[in-house]
Amino acid sequence: MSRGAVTRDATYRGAATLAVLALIASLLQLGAVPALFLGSVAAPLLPVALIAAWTMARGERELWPALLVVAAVLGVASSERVGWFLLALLPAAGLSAVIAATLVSRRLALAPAAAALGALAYLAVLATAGGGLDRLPAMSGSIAAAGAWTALVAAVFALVLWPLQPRPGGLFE
Amino acid sequence: MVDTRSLARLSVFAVIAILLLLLSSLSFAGNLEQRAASFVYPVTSIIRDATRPIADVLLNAGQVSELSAENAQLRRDLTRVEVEAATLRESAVAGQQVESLLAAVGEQAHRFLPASVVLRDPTPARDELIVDRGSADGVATGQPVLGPGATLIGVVVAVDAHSSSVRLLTDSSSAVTAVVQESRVPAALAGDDGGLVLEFVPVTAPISEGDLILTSALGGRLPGGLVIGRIASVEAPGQQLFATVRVEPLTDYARIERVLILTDPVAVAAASDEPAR
Repeated sequence: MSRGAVTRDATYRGAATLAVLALIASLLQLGAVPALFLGSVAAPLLPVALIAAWTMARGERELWPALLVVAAVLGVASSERVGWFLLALLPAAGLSAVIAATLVSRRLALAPAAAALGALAYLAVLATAGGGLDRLPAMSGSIAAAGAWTALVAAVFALVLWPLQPRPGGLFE
Repeated sequence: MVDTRSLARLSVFAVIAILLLLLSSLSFAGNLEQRAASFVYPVTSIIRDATRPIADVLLNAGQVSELSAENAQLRRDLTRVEVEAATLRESAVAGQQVESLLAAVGEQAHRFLPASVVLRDPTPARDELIVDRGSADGVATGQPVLGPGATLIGVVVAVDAHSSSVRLLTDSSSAVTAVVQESRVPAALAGDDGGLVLEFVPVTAPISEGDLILTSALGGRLPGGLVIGRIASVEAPGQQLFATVRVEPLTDYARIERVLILTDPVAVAAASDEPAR
């Protein structure tokens, strides 16, 4: 098998794995997080943390199917549309992709920062979609707390995903 | 540097998102979402139920679950007693109105539809619950929703065949007509960043902390006399026309698991008005 085909297979396997993890993270976001944080906005955004950590670990090529999975699950469970959730996730994906493509080393250390900024953008987009743009200043404390929680979770995810970084003989290679 | 393929993928997904938004106005998109939601709701309910004991332990800082359950039971008892006391006082103020309302409710118990909360809307600016009853069960938009202790917690704002969205009173776009029980001062009760505020209350109005807030039948949207909460604070600066009145709900909205939907509020309201004629 050619080297290109091997790389392509690894990408497919990584994308499929991330999509499954994203599905689990989305369901936990809907079921477990509201129970643990009493429905508050000041709670971690598990899909955003996962997207940031995975992209830092393995690059952005495997990321995109997972975005559709997360947007679909969260969108159907909300009075807001799937398209808004997809738009809300793009800043986190884009930022993570830029950092992953720019830095060669220490990328995982930046996963919390990318996740935090991605969470802020996610909440801002959805607040705008929900007609709550004028409430953003009042919600700033909760949104900042959500960013901090998401960064913390992304740090944990980054540590867990550390062994999955692409290398010869690695898990998906 | 970021390669052009990454930027192209990001652009493609932005276009997909916009296309999805445009397509969402079509009816088949709504049906598709509805079908997908019917798979998501049961899974999230199972996850929530499995997480709740863990959350109880964590949120009670290591207390045993029995203490948590006892606390929840005491809260329910307290709410029930407060509602009973409010009902008695309301009876003294408004004659037979509440008695007839309760009588009407008792005779028309079938008008109250029990429903389970399947999840909270994940949109940050919204304070809404999704419940497992829909138009197939007789639910329609505008119907009042009662929580523990028969206190009003919200109103149905969207209905699918087997699920409905309930906008909680604490949502920033929620507004219902209300009355202060003790002084009979009418006002509008609005959501305010997770809390409740009573609007259009003159600074000279004879109200004080602890006064109970009930729904008002004014406007015909809700039956009168449903208990909502109590006044938590009153700020009445002399130079302003209206006081700033914060209201504390009698129910913890974050922990609501089951609700009652008043499927025929007009009939109940009419029944409650009859003796007063």
